[in-house]
Amino acid sequence: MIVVSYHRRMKAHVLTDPTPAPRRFRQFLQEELAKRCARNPRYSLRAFARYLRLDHSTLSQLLRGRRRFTARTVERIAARLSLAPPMITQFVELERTPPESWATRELRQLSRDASLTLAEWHHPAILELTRLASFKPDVRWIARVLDVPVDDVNIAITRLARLGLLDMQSRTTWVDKAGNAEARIDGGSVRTVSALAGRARTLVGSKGGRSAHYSATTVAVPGLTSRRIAERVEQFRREIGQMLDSVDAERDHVYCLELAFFPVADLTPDGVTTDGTAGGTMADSRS
Amino acid sequence: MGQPVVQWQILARNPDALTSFYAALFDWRVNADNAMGYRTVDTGSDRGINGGVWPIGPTEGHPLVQLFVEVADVAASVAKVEQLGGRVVIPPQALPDGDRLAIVLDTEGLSLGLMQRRA
Repeated sequence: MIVVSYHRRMKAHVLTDPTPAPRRFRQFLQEELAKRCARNPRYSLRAFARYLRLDHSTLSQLLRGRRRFTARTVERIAARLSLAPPMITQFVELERTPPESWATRELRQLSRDASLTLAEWHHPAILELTRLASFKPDVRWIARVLDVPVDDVNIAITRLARLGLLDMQSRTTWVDKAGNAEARIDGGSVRTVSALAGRARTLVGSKGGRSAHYSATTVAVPGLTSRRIAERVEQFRREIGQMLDSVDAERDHVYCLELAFFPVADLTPDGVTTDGTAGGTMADSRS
Repeated sequence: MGQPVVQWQILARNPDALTSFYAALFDWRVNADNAMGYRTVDTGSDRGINGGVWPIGPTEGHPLVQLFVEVADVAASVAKVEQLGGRVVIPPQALPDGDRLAIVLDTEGLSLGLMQRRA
């Protein structure tokens, strides 16, 4: 009997297409043929070609992707199958669009990875944990420390490795390749902020000794100064990073330093700020 | 020694439900007591290969099955993948048990795991 041991197993994830590509006409025809064959075991490609009034070798090439559909072919076959006009139009349009390339698919996935990495707080937290002397390259430990399910940690690790932000260099060493990269959050990341706030409440509630400092203020500002303020906020964040880099001491905690500067009210006519950007967004916090 | 296919892996949105399904269907045994929390699947047979289940997030495509090939040097195999027109998805990583692993795409865009056992 094969002894199942962990080191005979592999853990991985793959670049997959997050949103399945729209069904093209070739797939539709393949499915239609499969349905007919399921209903009638004697049904064949030749029978389908006869029904569609096509040469069977032509149909075979079309189904195997060896020949491209022209708009006229799609319309003719679709009419024979009594498809609804909007569906025919959709298929014709799709045939005019080349299939998505690997590069495009990869880019799309990386873009999703990147946005999720910024949007979900435990991604940067995992990277920061790797800097601790007490770090354990054990997903169960990470999950326990961050109070996140093991599966969520593994999904995050996969994304971080795919983005090149995490390098599992050896069985004992994981390296944060993001450095002190800034996580710019946008309006879609409100859940990140609330998740972090919830996490902070839990920690402070359960361990009263932990120090937490909250400082927030809401002020009225001339729109023209918003950019300068955003720059100062960014400068402050950099200074904290530099200060930490200069401290020669073991890192044994992970804190979240959250800096947010965004408009909560816009009193300019038509909701447009004086520097010309749209109000009600994070646009004013850009550097 | 050759370069054999040594394992299958299912990428699953709901790994617990999936492993329960296969455990009930085939009496396969699932064990996640390891540093990656990886669900290993033992088919209980001395024929064929065993497998595992790995979670995927809601935005990460559809569930699928991957095959893993054992190689002597995962970094060298990854370089060869690129020479031959494949793509690297996850560069070589060292797992807590000492194995090394990379994920690549073949020329059809199918994902494939390359695994190097610990020395």
